[in-house]
Amino acid sequence: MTDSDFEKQILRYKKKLYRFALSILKQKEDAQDAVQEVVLRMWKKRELLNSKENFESYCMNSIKNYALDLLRKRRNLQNYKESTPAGNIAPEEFENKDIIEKMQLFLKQLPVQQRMAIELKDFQGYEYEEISTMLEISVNAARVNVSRGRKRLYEKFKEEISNG
Amino acid sequence: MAKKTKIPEEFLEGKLSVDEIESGNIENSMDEEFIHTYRKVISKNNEEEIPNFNLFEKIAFQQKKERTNRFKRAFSYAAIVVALVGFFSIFFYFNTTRKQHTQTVKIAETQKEVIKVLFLFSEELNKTLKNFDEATTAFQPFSDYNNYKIDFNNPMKNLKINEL
Repeated sequence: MTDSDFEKQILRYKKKLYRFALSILKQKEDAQDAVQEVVLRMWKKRELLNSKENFESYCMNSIKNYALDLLRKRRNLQNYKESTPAGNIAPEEFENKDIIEKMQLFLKQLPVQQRMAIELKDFQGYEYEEISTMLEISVNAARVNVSRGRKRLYEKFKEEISNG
Repeated sequence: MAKKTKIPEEFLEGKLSVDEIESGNIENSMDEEFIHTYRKVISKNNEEEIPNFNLFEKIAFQQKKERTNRFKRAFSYAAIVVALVGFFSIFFYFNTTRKQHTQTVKIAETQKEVIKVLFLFSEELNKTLKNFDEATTAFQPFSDYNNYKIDFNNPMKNLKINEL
């Protein structure tokens, strides 16, 4: 793949890559850094990348691997969950949010596998086959992750509505 | 009119996407509200502008770093070559100068020795010639003087010294 082909291809997926990275890392700066880092890594081996292959899946898969590595490293240093926006938010502040913002926070609190699957399926509209390639899991596992995530969100939503 | 149902199990099981659920066909208002909220969360998320960042920033940085490293490496090699050449030049210069100096000193010494020897030789030669001359004059048999040819036309013979 030539330099210009690489640039064209990667620019097409900028939004998707950023949103996917954000869904895993939760922080905008981290997501931005992850996308830039993955682009750099892919650029280093651009000559090995065949444009006929599924470039999009490869990009998403690279983002997933990089972001999960980053999370693992951080978990070794500190309890990452406590540092997430959802973990840090004060209860009274949470109460002042509307249901959409609360749902966004619930989404961020999902386990990472479910979060990734929901992001790819519901937010980016990929098919399970594509998700399974991107996440390197079976089609069934992709469906299970989406299902568990949706069920959890549904439960949280019900709780929130019933609490008033 | 379509029959109103509960929130489709297929959705929670991950078999249906949120777009495949027909609005208004859900019996339970909470479920209806959930689907509505879920759609809003998705559209809000997808409409959110992503930060305007340069995807290739790290690549540019990497290229700059590589250029700097290449320059540093080339500069180091050049410095090493210059240092080696300089070192050998200085070594050869001093070596040659030292040899030349030694040779000059030797030549000067030899010259002095030769002059001294020549002086002694000439002194000895003079002494010897003088001795020889004296010996020839002193011990020469008188008869030998007959062999001398007397120049009777000597212009000095009639010279009257008193008249001078």
